[in-house]
Amino acid sequence: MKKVPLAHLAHGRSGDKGDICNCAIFARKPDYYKIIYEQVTAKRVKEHFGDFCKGEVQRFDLPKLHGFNFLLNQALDGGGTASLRIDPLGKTYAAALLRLEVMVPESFSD
Amino acid sequence: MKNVRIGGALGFWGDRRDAILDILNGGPLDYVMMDYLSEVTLSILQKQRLKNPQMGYAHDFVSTIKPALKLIVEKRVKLITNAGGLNPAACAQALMAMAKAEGFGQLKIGVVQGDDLFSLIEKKGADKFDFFHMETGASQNLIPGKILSANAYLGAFPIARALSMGADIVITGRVNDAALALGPLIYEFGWNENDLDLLASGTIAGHLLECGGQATGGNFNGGWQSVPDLAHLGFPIAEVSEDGSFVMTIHPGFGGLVTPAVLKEQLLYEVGDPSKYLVADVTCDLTDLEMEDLGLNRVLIKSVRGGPAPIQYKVSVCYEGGYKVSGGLIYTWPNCVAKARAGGELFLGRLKKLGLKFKDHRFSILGYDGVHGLMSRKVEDPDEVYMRLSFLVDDLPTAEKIARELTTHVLCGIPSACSLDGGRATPQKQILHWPSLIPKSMIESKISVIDSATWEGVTLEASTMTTATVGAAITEPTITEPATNEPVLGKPAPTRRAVI
Repeated sequence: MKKVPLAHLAHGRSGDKGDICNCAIFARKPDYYKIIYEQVTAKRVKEHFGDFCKGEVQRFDLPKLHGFNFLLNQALDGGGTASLRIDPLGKTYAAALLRLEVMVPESFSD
Repeated sequence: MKNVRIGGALGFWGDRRDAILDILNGGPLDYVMMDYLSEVTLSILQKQRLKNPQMGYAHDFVSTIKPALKLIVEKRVKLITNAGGLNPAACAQALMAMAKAEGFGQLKIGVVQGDDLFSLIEKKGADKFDFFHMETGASQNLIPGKILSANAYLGAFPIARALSMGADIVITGRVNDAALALGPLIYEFGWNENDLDLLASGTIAGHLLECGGQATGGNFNGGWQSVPDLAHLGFPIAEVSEDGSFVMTIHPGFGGLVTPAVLKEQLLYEVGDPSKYLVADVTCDLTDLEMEDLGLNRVLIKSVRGGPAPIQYKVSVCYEGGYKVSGGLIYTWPNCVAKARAGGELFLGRLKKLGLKFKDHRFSILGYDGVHGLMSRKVEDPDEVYMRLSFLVDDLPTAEKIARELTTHVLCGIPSACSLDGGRATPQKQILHWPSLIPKSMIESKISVIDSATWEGVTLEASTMTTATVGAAITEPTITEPATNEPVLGKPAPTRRAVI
């Protein structure tokens, strides 16, 4: 087994609703869905975002679309115009999520 | 089988203004929608309306449409937009004035109103409402600033009604963004409020159209290198069938890419629970949704499921905050991160000496960890970074003094620094957003049509129609509040959550 960034297995987009950021990610190949399903848990995503996400993380699974929607609560420093962050709308948070490392077989090549 | 072609020509107020011309010129179309409103746009418009009662709409809408109006009229494409903002009637009047001046003799403009709750608040008094916070449950009494605007997110049935009254162009205030597409579909196919799967399908078509280029290869994380010619990006088109299934595509000859991967990114954009995506008219369930790549930038979408409409409208309340002021400096090698940090500390020391108080602050070192913080893969000693200093303060004079202080650091601060684009920071008034809900029974939509044949530039006389008579989502279900003559508005079952 070896570690690769989630970006090798998935792509996605993120956006805001108030102080909630949604990060939707999709497996680049159907086979990758299971790896993501098992390893990219709400708990790991919460840890990954650390002090950026003050509330809970929820994961919604979409097996037919090979996708996952993560809701990061209280993740935008108040959100929108309230936030002093560089990216108060969480537009780049999907990219941040795709930094997360996942274990894949040695034979894996994207 | 009949199908209806709807284009999405604007993703936000600030999007490409030539897209409307491209999408009209590029091929056949029945309708085109333009989405101007974000959550805080309405409060910006409110400030403009307070200064001038004829303002309060997306003021450049008329000049954006001017070069496109000939195409709209000749090709008989109907335009649906929320550019009306807080003042759809004034927007329609301005558009009609332009159309008449340009010599268009036959034009009917529909106007959808009723979303604006601000006058209701002023009339009844703020204490008659409880716009509790949708996410935190906090009472409206905790809104820490003056309320600037409050708007309900209306559904699609008033738009359909305007079309049935003969409108060529429909101008709304705050509606669900996707309603700009669902309205025409309700009108064309005769869908009613019980056709939940169809309403959900039309909503998702609208959801895929509402952000313009994000559905055709713009901002595509799944392989941006493979998207051809973003300079000539084709804006999205939904070809919707009577059974609710639809094909997403672009006109031939334009840049962009329409594949399942591109559309999936947009499908869940700003969505919460994908099995319960709520808009005014229906609850959409995306969990069975299927996408089939037909090739040549065509993707078939089907199996969107619909559930009962929520019993409330979402409400967007905007209120006054303090002032934000942000600025900074570029620091260069060597040790630029250490220099940036020293610059930040120095700045705090200066504010202390000058007695300038702030409510909150944040320092972000761009090029190091400024955007993603602890998640960043930090470079040991980068060549250059931008240190952004951002402050939140109560009053404008303090904000201006902080902005003034930012400029002094080129000469009196840490070395090897320069400013970015030479500008001085401008304090920005903060307008904050408070999402809430309101029972549908409290809202009355007004649909009216102005006809160029009879229009004399006078004040719009609206023919009033409630959503109930339009067949809107007023199934008037179980509102949990006891019925009183003066109900406390916006206090529904606390667990309902609308994501729009």
